[in-house]
Amino acid sequence: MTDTDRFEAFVREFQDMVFATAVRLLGGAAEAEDVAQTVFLRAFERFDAVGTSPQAAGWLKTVATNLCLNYLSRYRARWQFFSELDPPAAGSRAGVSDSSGSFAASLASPVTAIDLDEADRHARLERALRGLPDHQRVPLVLFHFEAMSYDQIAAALGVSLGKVKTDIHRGREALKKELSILDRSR
Amino acid sequence: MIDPVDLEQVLDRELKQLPRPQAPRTLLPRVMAAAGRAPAPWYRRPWIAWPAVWQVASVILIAGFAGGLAFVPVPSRLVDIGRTLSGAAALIRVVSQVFLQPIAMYVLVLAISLSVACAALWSALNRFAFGEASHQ
Repeated sequence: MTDTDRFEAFVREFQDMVFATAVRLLGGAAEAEDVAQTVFLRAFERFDAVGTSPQAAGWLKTVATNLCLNYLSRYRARWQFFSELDPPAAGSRAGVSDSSGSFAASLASPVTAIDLDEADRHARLERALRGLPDHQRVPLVLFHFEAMSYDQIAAALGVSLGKVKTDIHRGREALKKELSILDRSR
Repeated sequence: MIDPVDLEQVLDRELKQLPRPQAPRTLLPRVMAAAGRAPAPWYRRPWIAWPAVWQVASVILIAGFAGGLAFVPVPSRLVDIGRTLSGAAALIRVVSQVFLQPIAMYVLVLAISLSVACAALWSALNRFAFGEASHQ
């Protein structure tokens, strides 16, 4: 097996994990694919060490998370600005807004008429998660998927602990609405 | 009204049940193409393409190693073996003086010339053929 074959097998093994980390943090598939490519090129540069390491998955996740946060930090000023505003203004992305309920309201009528199966339920929740504004989605993903504590998230994002808790709470409230709609539709 | 702690647990369970998003099919070919364009690390390249600092360092290291060998005391057992072989060495010396020494200088010059030509050819290929290809 050549080095190229080994690297290809390595990418095949971990591509879903890296992409999942990136797409949930960034909320968009195109940016996530770019970041995932950069992650694997970093791995390629030190493939002698990373390729055989039992910690390869952890290393890839850490690099993916850091690259996503770096990517988002380009918009950090705007991100912090929006997150300090009142909740109605915080829903900067199309889709879920944390307290206005417009997204939930837009979904309520058609969804209740449809008997959603589990796959649909997952798809809608995933979409709702990705539709959260950056300042809510990122700490929420770091907490629930990357098992980071509030303190670690605050340190990683360079924001206060209180802001992390507030943003996560608002994100959860937005997802709760989505869940309640999905449950009502069953 | 759901308690925040309950909400955290409910959402944690729901989110962790989500299937992992699949990487798009385009990711693997993109990564492999980009990796193919990425330069190999210097230690994987031929010596002639190493960074100048490492070339100089490697020459110094090898010279130092070779020079250091001259000062290493020869074990007495090796000296005994050397004496045993001295008869054979004398024979080889005679053969060498008769047949090899007359052409030794020519062989040395030829070997050096070929080495220099190979190095020059490799550098030229690296710069004009492989180098240009890697920038495309």
